[in-house]
Amino acid sequence: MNELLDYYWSKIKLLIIPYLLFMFLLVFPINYYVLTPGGITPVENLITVDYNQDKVIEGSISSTYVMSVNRPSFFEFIIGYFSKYSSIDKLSGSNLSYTNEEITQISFVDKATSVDASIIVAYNEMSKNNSEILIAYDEAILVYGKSTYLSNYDTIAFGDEFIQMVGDNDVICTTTSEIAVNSQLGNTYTFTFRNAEGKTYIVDLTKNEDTGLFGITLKLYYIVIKEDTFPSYSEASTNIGGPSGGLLQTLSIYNMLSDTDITHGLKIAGTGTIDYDGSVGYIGGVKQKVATAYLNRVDIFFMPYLDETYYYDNYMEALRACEELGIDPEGWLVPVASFADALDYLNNLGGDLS
Amino acid sequence: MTYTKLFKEFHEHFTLKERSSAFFGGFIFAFIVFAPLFIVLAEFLLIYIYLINAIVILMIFSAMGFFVFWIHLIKKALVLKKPTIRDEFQLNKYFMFNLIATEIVVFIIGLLFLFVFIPMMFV
Repeated sequence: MNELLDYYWSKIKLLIIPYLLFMFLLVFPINYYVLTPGGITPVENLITVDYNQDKVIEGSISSTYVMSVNRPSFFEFIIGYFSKYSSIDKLSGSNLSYTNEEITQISFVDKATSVDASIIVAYNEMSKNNSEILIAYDEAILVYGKSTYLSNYDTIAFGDEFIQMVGDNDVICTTTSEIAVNSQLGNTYTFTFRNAEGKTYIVDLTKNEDTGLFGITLKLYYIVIKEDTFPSYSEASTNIGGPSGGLLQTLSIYNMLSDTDITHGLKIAGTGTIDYDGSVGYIGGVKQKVATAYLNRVDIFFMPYLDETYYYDNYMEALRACEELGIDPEGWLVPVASFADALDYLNNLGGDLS
Repeated sequence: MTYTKLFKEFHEHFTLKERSSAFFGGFIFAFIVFAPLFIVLAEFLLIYIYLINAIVILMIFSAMGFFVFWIHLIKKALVLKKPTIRDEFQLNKYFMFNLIATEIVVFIIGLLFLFVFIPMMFV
């Protein structure tokens, strides 16, 4: 090694400062995020339903993912800046206080709960016409946000289930509204949670002096009871987080349960969260998702469209993105407000094709 | 001359300490040179994820380049230790065998990433 060091020493001396500067640009993180186009993934790779196994699905239904690079390096910031498909913005709100790992954990909670919502909506819809289909689900209150001042911050993980709180006068609270009503007299209360491994744990949470809050955000979800649901289904592990695949997951699950093929041989993709009543919700990264759909040459791309007067309505944003990127939206960009809208569109398309 | 004979001869010419020093030194220098390239490619991959296949192919070639450079530096270090070694031993031929074997392994691992691991990751 010493021979090499002696031999190259003059070059090393010359290059060491530029080298270290370049490495600094490559690794030093800044408080921004870069959104870039990602890809499309067939929902059947993530969820498979044990039903209608002989049915041939000629087309495909895919969810769309984009890449969010949180706290990019200077170099990533620069190359993102020069990409016409990318958007760059400052990290703000709670994301600023979360680590990149925590942001990822939240996105996986979103993904897991969106799969359950998709199962519930698709099974409920199909059960109207097919009495074989059974769906059972239960309420669960999950940890969705943590403030920096939350006591026992590291013990409580995103996605842990809230079981109960011992409130004033030893009242047992099991809902979020009960927590607010029964935590007026003291500062510290005993909470019980269940973690991802199914183990319950007890922690004391103290209210912050300035805000008067515990610093924890709890959100109500519906979780499918697999044992009481027919047909059974399986989920593959995924590296893609976020709730925006909800609508397409629902369509794909519905198609797996249906006797007919709603794809009509087309490459269908889209975006939009799904709520338990079948309504579609807004998503972020519209420009990148439009670009992803365009780059992947999809035939139909569903986009949430809830209010044409709202400047940031996803469909209106998508139209502006198409104009900016020089993409013709005619014939493939389809606005929808609910799962029923998307289903109607595909069913009518079948009529048109025949 | 077979690889086995070259291998034995190589071990006769250089002690364990000399060999280890050349391998380790070569690795450190090659790593220092290639680390920024690997980071640049990884960051390009994150921002241009839709070009993942093209960038992974570039990464495979970069990994192959890394091993070419590493072996070049090993040879350089060994020649610096024994300047007359090229007259006594077929250094290039010996390392060419090693390089070809390494590059084949790197190429196969790269193809596995391209066609198996990456499609599995983006579910």
